[in-house]
Amino acid sequence: MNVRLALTALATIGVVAGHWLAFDFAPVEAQMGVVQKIFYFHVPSAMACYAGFIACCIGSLAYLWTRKGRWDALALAGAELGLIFGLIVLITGPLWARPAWGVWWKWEPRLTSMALLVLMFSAYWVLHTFGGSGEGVRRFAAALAVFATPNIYFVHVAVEKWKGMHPEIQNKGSGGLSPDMRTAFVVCMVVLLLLFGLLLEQRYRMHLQSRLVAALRRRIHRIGGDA
Amino acid sequence: MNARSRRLCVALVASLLSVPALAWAQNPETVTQFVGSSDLDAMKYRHLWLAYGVIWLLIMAFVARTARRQSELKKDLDLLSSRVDDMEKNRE
Amino acid sequence: MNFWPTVALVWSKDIRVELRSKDTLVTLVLFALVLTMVFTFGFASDPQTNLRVFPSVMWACVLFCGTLGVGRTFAREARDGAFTALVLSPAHRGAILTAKTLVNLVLTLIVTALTTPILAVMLRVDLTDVLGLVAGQLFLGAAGFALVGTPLAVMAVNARFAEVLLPMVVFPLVAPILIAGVTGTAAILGTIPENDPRPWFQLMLGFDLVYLVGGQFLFDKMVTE
Repeated sequence: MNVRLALTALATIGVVAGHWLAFDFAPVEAQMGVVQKIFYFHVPSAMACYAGFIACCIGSLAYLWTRKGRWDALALAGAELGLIFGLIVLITGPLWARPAWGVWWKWEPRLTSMALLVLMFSAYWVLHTFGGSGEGVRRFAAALAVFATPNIYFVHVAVEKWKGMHPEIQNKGSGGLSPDMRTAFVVCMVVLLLLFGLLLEQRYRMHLQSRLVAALRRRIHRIGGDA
Repeated sequence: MNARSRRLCVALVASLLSVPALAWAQNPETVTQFVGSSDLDAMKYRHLWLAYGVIWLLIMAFVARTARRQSELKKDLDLLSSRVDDMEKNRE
Repeated sequence: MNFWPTVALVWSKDIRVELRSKDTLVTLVLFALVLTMVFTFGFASDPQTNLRVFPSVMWACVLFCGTLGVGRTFAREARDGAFTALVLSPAHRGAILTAKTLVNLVLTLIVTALTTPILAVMLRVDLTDVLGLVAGQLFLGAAGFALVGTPLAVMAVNARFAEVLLPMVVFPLVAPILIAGVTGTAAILGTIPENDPRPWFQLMLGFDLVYLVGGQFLFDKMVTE
Protein backbone atom coordinates (compact mmCIF):
# COMPACT_ATOMS: atom_id res chain seq x y z
CA MET A 1 0.00 0.00 0.00
CA ASN A 2 2.90 2.32 0.75
CA VAL A 3 4.20 1.87 -2.75
CA ARG A 4 0.93 3.13 -4.11
CA LEU A 5 0.98 6.10 -1.75
CA ALA A 6 4.50 6.96 -2.86
CA LEU A 7 3.59 6.60 -6.51
CA THR A 8 0.50 8.75 -6.11
CA ALA A 9 2.56 11.43 -4.41
CA LEU A 10 5.11 11.17 -7.21
CA ALA A 11 2.40 11.47 -9.83
CA THR A 12 0.93 14.52 -8.10
CA ILE A 13 4.29 16.25 -7.95
CA GLY A 14 4.93 15.13 -11.51
CA VAL A 15 1.70 16.65 -12.78
CA VAL A 16 2.59 20.03 -11.28
CA ALA A 17 6.17 19.76 -12.55
CA GLY A 18 4.97 18.68 -15.97
CA HIS A 19 2.77 21.75 -16.27
CA TRP A 20 5.57 23.98 -15.17
CA LEU A 21 7.93 22.41 -17.69
CA ALA A 22 5.37 22.59 -20.48
CA PHE A 23 4.21 26.15 -19.86
CA ASP A 24 7.25 27.93 -18.48
CA PHE A 25 10.42 25.93 -19.06
CA ALA A 26 9.90 24.85 -22.66
CA PRO A 27 10.22 27.66 -25.21
CA VAL A 28 7.26 28.80 -27.28
CA GLU A 29 7.37 27.12 -30.66
CA ALA A 30 8.23 29.63 -33.38
CA GLN A 31 5.70 28.69 -36.06
CA MET A 32 2.67 27.47 -34.18
CA GLY A 33 3.00 29.64 -31.10
CA VAL A 34 1.60 28.81 -27.70
CA VAL A 35 -0.97 26.37 -29.03
CA GLN A 36 1.87 23.91 -29.61
CA LYS A 37 1.93 23.41 -25.83
CA ILE A 38 -1.16 21.24 -26.15
CA PHE A 39 1.22 18.67 -27.56
CA TYR A 40 2.88 18.02 -24.16
CA PHE A 41 -0.22 16.34 -22.84
CA HIS A 42 -1.91 15.44 -26.11
CA VAL A 43 0.71 12.92 -27.26
CA PRO A 44 1.18 11.25 -23.85
CA SER A 45 -2.62 10.95 -23.65
CA ALA A 46 -2.57 9.15 -26.96
CA MET A 47 0.07 6.79 -25.58
CA ALA A 48 -2.01 6.20 -22.46
CA CYS A 49 -5.01 5.57 -24.70
CA TYR A 50 -3.12 2.94 -26.70
CA ALA A 51 -1.85 1.40 -23.47
CA GLY A 52 -5.40 1.15 -22.18
CA PHE A 53 -6.66 -0.53 -25.34
CA ILE A 54 -3.71 -2.90 -25.39
CA ALA A 55 -4.49 -3.80 -21.77
CA CYS A 56 -8.08 -4.41 -22.88
CA CYS A 57 -6.95 -6.62 -25.75
CA ILE A 58 -4.58 -8.65 -23.56
CA GLY A 59 -7.18 -8.98 -20.81
CA SER A 60 -9.78 -10.08 -23.35
CA LEU A 61 -7.53 -12.69 -24.91
CA ALA A 62 -6.63 -14.07 -21.50
CA TYR A 63 -10.29 -14.05 -20.52
CA LEU A 64 -11.34 -15.95 -23.63
CA TRP A 65 -8.74 -18.61 -22.96
CA THR A 66 -8.80 -18.95 -19.16
CA ARG A 67 -12.37 -17.70 -18.48
CA LYS A 68 -11.22 -16.14 -15.23
CA GLY A 69 -13.28 -13.11 -14.26
CA ARG A 70 -10.32 -11.04 -13.17
CA TRP A 71 -9.02 -10.87 -16.74
CA ASP A 72 -12.37 -9.52 -17.82
CA ALA A 73 -12.11 -6.92 -15.06
CA LEU A 74 -8.68 -5.91 -16.35
CA ALA A 75 -10.00 -5.65 -19.90
CA LEU A 76 -12.89 -3.47 -18.82
CA ALA A 77 -10.62 -1.22 -16.77
CA GLY A 78 -8.25 -0.89 -19.72
CA ALA A 79 -11.06 -0.01 -22.09
CA GLU A 80 -12.45 2.62 -19.73
CA LEU A 81 -9.10 4.31 -19.29
CA GLY A 82 -8.36 4.06 -22.97
CA LEU A 83 -11.68 5.77 -23.68
CA ILE A 84 -11.04 8.59 -21.22
CA PHE A 85 -7.61 9.28 -22.67
CA GLY A 86 -8.89 8.75 -26.20
CA LEU A 87 -11.57 11.34 -25.56
CA ILE A 88 -8.88 13.71 -24.34
CA VAL A 89 -6.89 13.11 -27.51
CA LEU A 90 -9.91 13.63 -29.75
CA ILE A 91 -10.87 16.87 -28.01
CA THR A 92 -7.42 18.41 -27.68
CA GLY A 93 -6.42 17.40 -31.22
CA PRO A 94 -8.97 19.56 -33.03
CA LEU A 95 -8.32 22.39 -30.55
CA TRP A 96 -4.74 22.31 -31.76
CA ALA A 97 -5.60 21.74 -35.39
CA ARG A 98 -7.95 24.72 -35.73
CA PRO A 99 -5.22 27.36 -35.26
CA ALA A 100 -2.41 25.24 -36.72
CA TRP A 101 -4.08 23.76 -39.79
CA GLY A 102 -6.98 26.12 -40.11
CA VAL A 103 -9.51 23.28 -39.88
CA TRP A 104 -10.86 21.29 -36.96
CA TRP A 105 -10.52 17.92 -38.59
CA LYS A 106 -8.76 16.24 -41.50
CA TRP A 107 -9.13 12.78 -42.90
CA GLU A 108 -5.59 12.02 -42.07
CA PRO A 109 -4.39 8.50 -41.15
CA ARG A 110 -3.69 9.15 -37.54
CA LEU A 111 -6.90 11.05 -36.91
CA THR A 112 -9.12 8.56 -38.66
CA SER A 113 -7.62 5.51 -37.02
CA MET A 114 -7.83 7.12 -33.58
CA ALA A 115 -11.46 8.08 -34.07
CA LEU A 116 -12.37 4.56 -35.19
CA LEU A 117 -10.37 3.04 -32.37
CA VAL A 118 -12.32 5.05 -29.82
CA LEU A 119 -15.57 4.19 -31.59
CA MET A 120 -14.82 0.47 -31.46
CA PHE A 121 -13.91 0.46 -27.82
CA SER A 122 -16.98 2.54 -27.06
CA ALA A 123 -18.93 -0.30 -28.61
CA TYR A 124 -17.04 -2.69 -26.32
CA TRP A 125 -17.83 -0.56 -23.30
CA VAL A 126 -21.50 -0.13 -24.17
CA LEU A 127 -21.82 -3.84 -24.77
CA HIS A 128 -20.12 -4.68 -21.52
CA THR A 129 -22.08 -2.16 -19.47
CA PHE A 130 -25.55 -2.38 -20.97
CA GLY A 131 -25.57 -5.71 -22.76
CA GLY A 132 -26.62 -7.62 -19.66
CA SER A 133 -24.57 -9.55 -17.17
CA GLY A 134 -24.47 -12.93 -18.90
CA GLU A 135 -21.19 -14.65 -19.58
CA GLY A 136 -22.02 -14.83 -23.26
CA VAL A 137 -22.10 -11.07 -23.55
CA ARG A 138 -18.79 -10.74 -21.75
CA ARG A 139 -17.17 -13.25 -24.00
CA PHE A 140 -18.61 -11.57 -27.01
CA ALA A 141 -17.28 -8.21 -25.86
CA ALA A 142 -13.87 -9.77 -25.33
CA ALA A 143 -13.88 -11.15 -28.87
CA LEU A 144 -14.82 -7.71 -30.13
CA ALA A 145 -11.85 -6.16 -28.33
CA VAL A 146 -9.55 -8.73 -29.88
CA PHE A 147 -11.02 -8.04 -33.32
CA ALA A 148 -10.75 -4.30 -32.90
CA THR A 149 -7.07 -4.07 -32.10
CA PRO A 150 -5.55 -5.34 -35.37
CA ASN A 151 -8.21 -3.41 -37.23
CA ILE A 152 -6.38 -0.25 -36.26
CA TYR A 153 -3.48 -1.26 -38.43
CA PHE A 154 -5.79 -1.77 -41.39
CA VAL A 155 -7.51 1.53 -40.95
CA HIS A 156 -4.15 3.22 -40.73
CA VAL A 157 -2.89 1.59 -43.92
CA ALA A 158 -6.16 2.31 -45.69
CA VAL A 159 -6.15 5.98 -44.93
CA GLU A 160 -2.45 6.32 -45.58
CA LYS A 161 -3.01 5.18 -49.14
CA TRP A 162 -6.06 7.33 -49.40
CA LYS A 163 -3.94 10.33 -48.43
CA GLY A 164 -3.04 10.81 -52.09
CA MET A 165 -6.12 13.00 -52.31
CA HIS A 166 -4.89 15.34 -49.61
CA PRO A 167 -1.37 16.49 -50.47
CA GLU A 168 -1.38 19.31 -47.94
CA ILE A 169 -1.15 17.00 -44.92
CA GLN A 170 1.09 18.24 -42.16
CA ASN A 171 2.61 15.83 -39.74
CA LYS A 172 3.14 16.73 -36.14
CA GLY A 173 5.95 14.38 -35.19
CA SER A 174 8.35 15.11 -32.38
CA GLY A 175 11.35 15.23 -34.71
CA GLY A 176 11.94 18.95 -34.56
CA LEU A 177 11.97 19.41 -30.81
CA SER A 178 14.54 21.56 -29.08
CA PRO A 179 16.31 19.94 -26.09
CA ASP A 180 14.20 21.87 -23.57
CA MET A 181 11.02 20.87 -25.33
CA ARG A 182 12.19 17.29 -25.36
CA THR A 183 12.81 17.35 -21.60
CA ALA A 184 9.34 18.71 -20.94
CA PHE A 185 7.81 16.18 -23.29
CA VAL A 186 9.59 13.19 -21.74
CA VAL A 187 8.62 14.26 -18.22
CA CYS A 188 4.99 14.73 -19.24
CA MET A 189 5.00 11.32 -20.90
CA VAL A 190 6.37 9.57 -17.80
CA VAL A 191 3.98 11.41 -15.52
CA LEU A 192 0.91 10.65 -17.59
CA LEU A 193 1.80 6.99 -17.98
CA LEU A 194 2.34 6.77 -14.21
CA LEU A 195 -1.06 8.34 -13.67
CA PHE A 196 -2.51 5.91 -16.16
CA GLY A 197 -1.00 2.95 -14.30
CA LEU A 198 -2.37 4.14 -10.96
CA LEU A 199 -5.84 4.72 -12.36
CA LEU A 200 -5.82 1.37 -14.15
CA GLU A 201 -4.95 -0.46 -10.97
CA GLN A 202 -7.61 1.43 -9.01
CA ARG A 203 -10.27 0.77 -11.61
CA TYR A 204 -9.28 -2.90 -11.88
CA ARG A 205 -9.61 -3.25 -8.12
CA MET A 206 -13.00 -1.57 -8.26
CA HIS A 207 -14.30 -4.01 -10.86
CA LEU A 208 -13.04 -6.93 -8.78
CA GLN A 209 -14.89 -5.55 -5.78
CA SER A 210 -18.09 -5.08 -7.71
CA ARG A 211 -17.84 -8.70 -8.84
CA LEU A 212 -17.36 -9.76 -5.24
CA VAL A 213 -20.46 -7.82 -4.23
CA ALA A 214 -22.47 -9.48 -6.97
CA ALA A 215 -21.23 -12.90 -5.88
CA LEU A 216 -22.17 -12.20 -2.25
CA ARG A 217 -25.63 -11.07 -3.33
CA ARG A 218 -26.11 -14.35 -5.17
CA ARG A 219 -24.90 -16.27 -2.17
CA ILE A 220 -27.31 -14.52 0.18
CA HIS A 221 -30.08 -15.19 -2.26
CA ARG A 222 -29.20 -18.87 -2.27
CA ILE A 223 -28.97 -19.16 1.50
CA GLY A 224 -32.21 -17.23 1.83
CA GLY A 225 -33.80 -19.61 -0.65
CA ASP A 226 -32.73 -22.63 1.35
CA ALA A 227 -33.75 -21.31 4.72
CA MET B 1 -7.72 0.81 2.41
CA ASN B 2 -10.65 2.56 0.90
CA ALA B 3 -10.48 5.58 3.15
CA ARG B 4 -6.86 5.95 2.22
CA SER B 5 -7.43 5.63 -1.48
CA ARG B 6 -10.16 8.19 -1.17
CA ARG B 7 -7.81 10.54 0.60
CA LEU B 8 -5.34 9.98 -2.20
CA CYS B 9 -7.95 10.91 -4.74
CA VAL B 10 -8.81 14.08 -2.83
CA ALA B 11 -5.14 14.99 -2.60
CA LEU B 12 -4.70 14.40 -6.29
CA VAL B 13 -7.75 16.45 -7.18
CA ALA B 14 -6.70 19.30 -4.89
CA SER B 15 -3.22 19.46 -6.30
CA LEU B 16 -4.55 19.27 -9.82
CA LEU B 17 -6.83 22.19 -9.07
CA SER B 18 -3.82 24.18 -7.97
CA VAL B 19 -2.16 23.71 -11.35
CA PRO B 20 -4.49 25.88 -13.44
CA ALA B 21 -4.29 28.53 -10.72
CA LEU B 22 -0.51 28.38 -10.88
CA ALA B 23 -0.52 28.59 -14.63
CA TRP B 24 -3.11 31.36 -14.57
CA ALA B 25 -0.86 33.40 -12.33
CA GLN B 26 1.80 33.32 -15.02
CA ASN B 27 -0.59 34.24 -17.76
CA PRO B 28 -0.30 38.06 -17.79
CA GLU B 29 3.46 37.82 -18.04
CA THR B 30 3.31 35.61 -21.10
CA VAL B 31 0.59 37.69 -22.67
CA THR B 32 2.75 40.83 -22.55
CA GLN B 33 5.25 39.06 -24.75
CA PHE B 34 2.66 39.02 -27.49
CA VAL B 35 1.72 42.66 -27.67
CA GLY B 36 -0.55 43.39 -30.58
CA SER B 37 -1.62 39.80 -30.95
CA SER B 38 -4.02 39.08 -33.73
CA ASP B 39 -7.24 37.09 -33.63
CA LEU B 40 -5.29 33.95 -34.34
CA ASP B 41 -3.09 34.48 -31.29
CA ALA B 42 -6.12 35.06 -29.13
CA MET B 43 -7.59 31.83 -30.49
CA LYS B 44 -4.37 30.00 -29.72
CA TYR B 45 -4.51 31.07 -26.08
CA ARG B 46 -8.19 30.25 -25.84
CA HIS B 47 -7.70 26.79 -27.29
CA LEU B 48 -4.70 26.13 -25.07
CA TRP B 49 -6.71 26.85 -21.94
CA LEU B 50 -9.66 24.94 -23.22
CA ALA B 51 -7.52 21.90 -23.99
CA TYR B 52 -5.90 21.75 -20.59
CA GLY B 53 -9.22 22.45 -18.93
CA VAL B 54 -10.79 19.52 -20.76
CA ILE B 55 -7.88 17.21 -19.96
CA TRP B 56 -8.03 17.73 -16.23
CA LEU B 57 -11.77 18.04 -16.01
CA LEU B 58 -12.15 14.62 -17.61
CA ILE B 59 -9.48 13.00 -15.48
CA MET B 60 -10.82 14.53 -12.28
CA ALA B 61 -14.37 13.52 -13.09
CA PHE B 62 -13.14 9.99 -13.72
CA VAL B 63 -11.20 9.91 -10.44
CA ALA B 64 -14.15 11.30 -8.50
CA ARG B 65 -16.54 8.76 -10.01
CA THR B 66 -14.19 5.91 -9.27
CA ALA B 67 -13.77 7.06 -5.67
CA ARG B 68 -17.53 7.30 -5.19
CA ARG B 69 -18.20 3.92 -6.75
CA GLN B 70 -15.50 2.40 -4.62
CA SER B 71 -16.83 3.79 -1.37
CA GLU B 72 -20.30 2.55 -2.25
CA LEU B 73 -18.92 -0.87 -3.04
CA LYS B 74 -17.01 -0.94 0.22
CA LYS B 75 -20.22 -0.18 2.10
CA ASP B 76 -22.08 -2.88 0.22
CA LEU B 77 -19.31 -5.35 0.81
CA ASP B 78 -19.28 -4.81 4.58
CA LEU B 79 -23.04 -5.02 4.80
CA LEU B 80 -23.32 -8.13 2.68
CA SER B 81 -20.50 -10.05 4.31
CA SER B 82 -21.93 -9.39 7.77
CA ARG B 83 -25.32 -10.58 6.52
CA VAL B 84 -23.78 -13.73 5.09
CA ASP B 85 -22.09 -14.41 8.41
CA ASP B 86 -25.34 -13.89 10.30
CA MET B 87 -27.30 -16.13 8.00
CA GLU B 88 -24.77 -18.91 8.15
CA LYS B 89 -24.66 -18.71 11.94
CA ASN B 90 -28.44 -18.87 12.12
CA ARG B 91 -28.53 -21.90 9.92
CA GLU B 92 -26.10 -23.77 12.11
CA MET C 1 -18.44 -35.68 -39.19
CA ASN C 2 -16.00 -33.92 -41.47
CA PHE C 3 -15.69 -30.20 -41.90
CA TRP C 4 -16.96 -29.61 -45.40
CA PRO C 5 -19.91 -32.03 -45.30
CA THR C 6 -21.07 -30.23 -42.16
CA VAL C 7 -20.70 -26.90 -43.90
CA ALA C 8 -22.71 -28.17 -46.85
CA LEU C 9 -25.40 -29.59 -44.57
CA VAL C 10 -25.90 -26.46 -42.47
CA TRP C 11 -25.69 -24.24 -45.52
CA SER C 12 -28.24 -26.18 -47.52
CA LYS C 13 -30.51 -26.34 -44.48
CA ASP C 14 -30.45 -22.57 -44.10
CA ILE C 15 -30.90 -21.95 -47.81
CA ARG C 16 -33.78 -24.41 -47.96
CA VAL C 17 -35.53 -22.80 -45.00
CA GLU C 18 -34.95 -19.40 -46.55
CA LEU C 19 -36.31 -20.50 -49.92
CA ARG C 20 -39.43 -21.84 -48.26
CA SER C 21 -40.23 -18.80 -46.14
CA LYS C 22 -38.34 -16.16 -48.18
CA ASP C 23 -38.84 -13.73 -45.30
CA THR C 24 -35.24 -12.50 -44.96
CA LEU C 25 -34.70 -12.23 -48.69
CA VAL C 26 -37.93 -10.36 -49.38
CA THR C 27 -37.31 -7.96 -46.49
CA LEU C 28 -33.77 -7.34 -47.66
CA VAL C 29 -34.71 -6.73 -51.27
CA LEU C 30 -37.51 -4.35 -50.35
CA PHE C 31 -35.23 -2.53 -47.96
CA ALA C 32 -32.59 -2.25 -50.67
CA LEU C 33 -35.11 -0.86 -53.12
CA VAL C 34 -36.23 1.77 -50.64
CA LEU C 35 -32.59 2.66 -50.02
CA THR C 36 -31.83 3.12 -53.70
CA MET C 37 -34.89 5.35 -54.00
CA VAL C 38 -33.84 7.46 -51.06
CA PHE C 39 -30.28 7.79 -52.29
CA THR C 40 -31.23 8.72 -55.84
CA PHE C 41 -33.80 11.24 -54.62
CA GLY C 42 -31.16 12.72 -52.40
CA PHE C 43 -28.17 12.73 -54.71
CA ALA C 44 -29.25 12.69 -58.35
CA SER C 45 -27.79 15.73 -60.03
CA ASP C 46 -25.62 16.48 -63.08
CA PRO C 47 -23.68 13.53 -64.59
CA GLN C 48 -20.35 14.60 -63.11
CA THR C 49 -21.71 14.75 -59.57
CA ASN C 50 -23.59 11.49 -60.05
CA LEU C 51 -20.38 9.77 -61.02
CA ARG C 52 -18.68 11.10 -57.92
CA VAL C 53 -21.38 10.09 -55.44
CA PHE C 54 -21.99 6.70 -57.05
CA PRO C 55 -19.23 4.77 -55.15
CA SER C 56 -20.37 6.08 -51.76
CA VAL C 57 -24.01 5.36 -52.49
CA MET C 58 -23.27 1.86 -53.76
CA TRP C 59 -21.20 0.96 -50.72
CA ALA C 60 -23.66 2.52 -48.33
CA CYS C 61 -26.28 0.18 -49.79
CA VAL C 62 -23.98 -2.79 -49.23
CA LEU C 63 -23.36 -1.65 -45.67
CA PHE C 64 -27.00 -1.19 -44.70
CA CYS C 65 -28.32 -4.31 -46.37
CA GLY C 66 -25.40 -6.34 -45.11
CA THR C 67 -25.99 -5.30 -41.53
CA LEU C 68 -29.67 -6.07 -41.77
CA GLY C 69 -28.97 -9.50 -43.23
CA VAL C 70 -26.22 -10.35 -40.75
CA GLY C 71 -28.49 -9.48 -37.84
CA ARG C 72 -30.86 -12.19 -39.00
CA THR C 73 -28.17 -14.90 -39.09
CA PHE C 74 -29.15 -16.69 -35.94
CA ALA C 75 -32.68 -15.32 -35.72
CA ARG C 76 -34.30 -18.65 -36.53
CA GLU C 77 -32.02 -20.59 -34.21
CA ALA C 78 -32.63 -18.19 -31.35
CA ARG C 79 -36.18 -19.44 -31.08
CA ASP C 80 -37.03 -22.71 -29.35
CA GLY C 81 -33.47 -23.27 -28.13
CA ALA C 82 -32.38 -24.44 -31.55
CA PHE C 83 -29.17 -22.47 -31.22
CA THR C 84 -28.17 -24.44 -28.14
CA ALA C 85 -28.92 -27.64 -30.01
CA LEU C 86 -26.81 -26.54 -32.95
CA VAL C 87 -23.89 -25.60 -30.71
CA LEU C 88 -24.13 -28.74 -28.61
CA SER C 89 -24.27 -31.00 -31.64
CA PRO C 90 -21.01 -32.79 -32.45
CA ALA C 91 -20.59 -30.58 -35.52
CA HIS C 92 -17.39 -28.57 -35.66
CA ARG C 93 -18.17 -25.00 -34.64
CA GLY C 94 -15.88 -23.62 -37.31
CA ALA C 95 -18.00 -25.48 -39.84
CA ILE C 96 -21.19 -23.92 -38.48
CA LEU C 97 -19.59 -20.50 -38.70
CA THR C 98 -18.38 -21.14 -42.25
CA ALA C 99 -21.82 -22.27 -43.35
CA LYS C 100 -23.49 -19.23 -41.78
CA THR C 101 -20.91 -16.93 -43.36
CA LEU C 102 -21.61 -18.44 -46.76
CA VAL C 103 -25.35 -17.99 -46.28
CA ASN C 104 -24.82 -14.34 -45.44
CA LEU C 105 -22.48 -13.93 -48.38
CA VAL C 106 -25.05 -15.34 -50.78
CA LEU C 107 -27.81 -13.12 -49.41
CA THR C 108 -25.66 -9.99 -49.56
CA LEU C 109 -24.52 -10.80 -53.09
CA ILE C 110 -28.09 -11.30 -54.30
CA VAL C 111 -29.15 -7.98 -52.87
CA THR C 112 -26.05 -6.20 -54.19
CA ALA C 113 -26.54 -7.68 -57.64
CA LEU C 114 -29.97 -6.11 -57.56
CA THR C 115 -29.19 -2.70 -56.12
CA THR C 116 -26.04 -1.88 -58.08
CA PRO C 117 -27.64 -1.98 -61.56
CA ILE C 118 -30.65 -0.06 -60.28
CA LEU C 119 -28.39 2.60 -58.82
CA ALA C 120 -26.33 2.72 -61.99
CA VAL C 121 -29.45 3.24 -64.08
CA MET C 122 -30.99 5.80 -61.77
CA LEU C 123 -27.79 7.81 -61.42
CA ARG C 124 -27.02 7.30 -65.13
CA VAL C 125 -23.57 5.85 -64.48
CA ASP C 126 -22.25 3.61 -67.26
CA LEU C 127 -20.74 0.49 -65.73
CA THR C 128 -20.53 -1.74 -68.81
CA ASP C 129 -16.78 -1.27 -69.33
CA VAL C 130 -15.79 -1.82 -65.71
CA LEU C 131 -18.40 -4.38 -64.73
CA GLY C 132 -15.87 -7.14 -63.95
CA LEU C 133 -13.73 -4.95 -61.71
CA VAL C 134 -16.67 -3.51 -59.80
CA ALA C 135 -18.18 -6.97 -59.40
CA GLY C 136 -14.89 -8.31 -58.04
CA GLN C 137 -14.72 -5.46 -55.61
CA LEU C 138 -18.27 -5.95 -54.46
CA PHE C 139 -17.58 -9.64 -53.99
CA LEU C 140 -14.53 -9.00 -51.82
CA GLY C 141 -16.42 -6.34 -49.90
CA ALA C 142 -19.44 -8.54 -49.31
CA ALA C 143 -17.15 -11.39 -48.27
CA GLY C 144 -15.37 -9.18 -45.76
CA PHE C 145 -18.69 -8.01 -44.46
CA ALA C 146 -19.97 -11.54 -43.97
CA LEU C 147 -16.70 -12.62 -42.36
CA VAL C 148 -16.86 -9.85 -39.76
CA GLY C 149 -20.57 -9.77 -39.25
CA THR C 150 -21.38 -13.45 -38.90
CA PRO C 151 -19.31 -14.27 -35.80
CA LEU C 152 -20.50 -11.02 -34.26
CA ALA C 153 -24.12 -11.94 -34.93
CA VAL C 154 -23.85 -14.57 -32.22
CA MET C 155 -24.38 -11.65 -29.91
CA ALA C 156 -27.91 -11.34 -31.22
CA VAL C 157 -28.62 -14.60 -29.45
CA ASN C 158 -27.23 -13.47 -26.11
CA ALA C 159 -27.30 -9.74 -25.51
CA ARG C 160 -30.03 -7.28 -24.74
CA PHE C 161 -30.60 -4.50 -27.33
CA ALA C 162 -28.86 -6.70 -29.87
CA GLU C 163 -30.56 -4.98 -32.81
CA VAL C 164 -29.03 -1.65 -31.84
CA LEU C 165 -25.73 -2.98 -30.61
CA LEU C 166 -24.90 -5.07 -33.65
CA PRO C 167 -24.66 -2.20 -36.17
CA MET C 168 -22.73 -0.19 -33.61
CA VAL C 169 -20.22 -2.98 -33.33
CA VAL C 170 -20.07 -3.95 -36.99
CA PHE C 171 -19.82 -0.49 -38.60
CA PRO C 172 -16.43 0.50 -37.15
CA LEU C 173 -15.06 -2.95 -37.85
CA VAL C 174 -15.98 -2.82 -41.52
CA ALA C 175 -14.67 0.72 -41.89
CA PRO C 176 -11.57 -0.44 -43.80
CA ILE C 177 -13.80 -2.29 -46.28
CA LEU C 178 -15.80 0.85 -46.83
CA ILE C 179 -12.72 3.01 -47.25
CA ALA C 180 -11.12 0.54 -49.63
CA GLY C 181 -14.40 -0.02 -51.48
CA VAL C 182 -15.40 3.59 -51.93
CA THR C 183 -11.93 4.75 -52.92
CA GLY C 184 -11.30 1.69 -55.08
CA THR C 185 -14.54 2.15 -57.00
CA ALA C 186 -13.77 5.82 -57.40
CA ALA C 187 -10.38 4.81 -58.82
CA ILE C 188 -12.05 2.46 -61.29
CA LEU C 189 -14.53 5.14 -62.35
CA GLY C 190 -11.69 7.63 -62.62
CA THR C 191 -13.11 10.29 -60.33
CA ILE C 192 -9.96 10.57 -58.20
CA PRO C 193 -6.45 11.45 -59.43
CA GLU C 194 -5.02 8.03 -58.69
CA ASN C 195 -6.81 5.55 -60.92
CA ASP C 196 -5.05 2.32 -59.96
CA PRO C 197 -7.52 0.13 -58.04
CA ARG C 198 -4.99 -2.63 -57.31
CA PRO C 199 -3.82 -1.51 -53.83
CA TRP C 200 -7.46 -1.35 -52.78
CA PHE C 201 -8.04 -4.90 -53.94
CA GLN C 202 -5.01 -6.02 -51.97
CA LEU C 203 -6.20 -4.19 -48.90
CA MET C 204 -9.64 -5.81 -49.08
CA LEU C 205 -8.11 -9.23 -49.59
CA GLY C 206 -5.79 -8.80 -46.63
CA PHE C 207 -8.67 -7.60 -44.51
CA ASP C 208 -10.80 -10.59 -45.55
CA LEU C 209 -8.03 -13.00 -44.64
CA VAL C 210 -7.45 -11.49 -41.20
CA TYR C 211 -11.12 -11.66 -40.36
CA LEU C 212 -11.40 -15.17 -41.72
CA VAL C 213 -8.65 -16.40 -39.42
CA GLY C 214 -9.76 -14.26 -36.47
CA GLY C 215 -13.37 -15.39 -36.77
CA GLN C 216 -12.45 -19.06 -36.90
CA PHE C 217 -10.22 -18.68 -33.86
CA LEU C 218 -12.60 -16.66 -31.74
CA PHE C 219 -15.98 -18.14 -32.62
CA ASP C 220 -15.33 -21.25 -30.60
CA LYS C 221 -14.49 -19.17 -27.55
CA MET C 222 -17.42 -16.80 -27.96
CA VAL C 223 -20.23 -19.29 -27.99
CA THR C 224 -21.79 -20.14 -24.66
CA GLU C 225 -23.25 -23.55 -24.21
